[in-house]
Amino acid sequence: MNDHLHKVFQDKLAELRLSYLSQLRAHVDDLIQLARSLEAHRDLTSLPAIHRLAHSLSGSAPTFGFHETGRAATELERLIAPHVLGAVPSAVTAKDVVEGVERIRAAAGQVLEGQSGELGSAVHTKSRGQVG
Amino acid sequence: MTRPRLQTVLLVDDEHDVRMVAKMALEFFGGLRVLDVPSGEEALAIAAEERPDLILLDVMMPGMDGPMTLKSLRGGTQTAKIPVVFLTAKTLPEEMRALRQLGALYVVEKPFDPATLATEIESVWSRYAQ
Repeated sequence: MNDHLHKVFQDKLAELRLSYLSQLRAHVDDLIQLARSLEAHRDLTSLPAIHRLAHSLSGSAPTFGFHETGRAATELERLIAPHVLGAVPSAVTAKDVVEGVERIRAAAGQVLEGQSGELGSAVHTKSRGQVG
Repeated sequence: MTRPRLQTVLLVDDEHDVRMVAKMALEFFGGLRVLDVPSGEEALAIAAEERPDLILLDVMMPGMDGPMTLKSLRGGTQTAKIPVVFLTAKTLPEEMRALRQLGALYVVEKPFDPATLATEIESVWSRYAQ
């Protein structure tokens, strides 16, 4: 690839990275809402949605260089996967899930620092109830 | 019989920004023609119409997911033999094995490196084409 094409590629990648930040913010806000619902209602039906969002962030965030967010999302995805996929009896707790979401929120918060708009506030970990 | 060089790839991923990075990487680094769609349903239609050499298919998508899409492709007369490569976030080994058992040629793990994605896909194609 010649220098001009390489620069065009890097410029386009930078544009996509900026575009991805708004998606990252939306995903993390959705995760926070779902975690709040899980904590308040012990609503197991939200776990597949949390799993999908964590899976999505696990694959996409590092593509744009947001490795810590990706790592936190992978941890949460692996925590929930046995419950969602139903392969083995799950002992996942609401507290575990909320803490996982908090780790994603903290990592994404560093990435989004300086961007316009506030990321959703903390989930507030109160529950220790088992949901599996 | 030796198959021709890889030319056209159909890329299926519901996440727009990730899809654009993959498309750009395959075009810039691999010189490939890349068709891209955000859903399994659209993939079925365009695959039958365009007959791409290979389909790069995201696993987890809303609606028709990757495995469902692969099953439908295999059931279509126009699309039954188009090789499919899954694209998925790094997952557990047993899940990777299960994906391969569905009939995919290969599984590309996300996050992928844009600089090497085309080489990875062309390497899979070379093994398939022999």
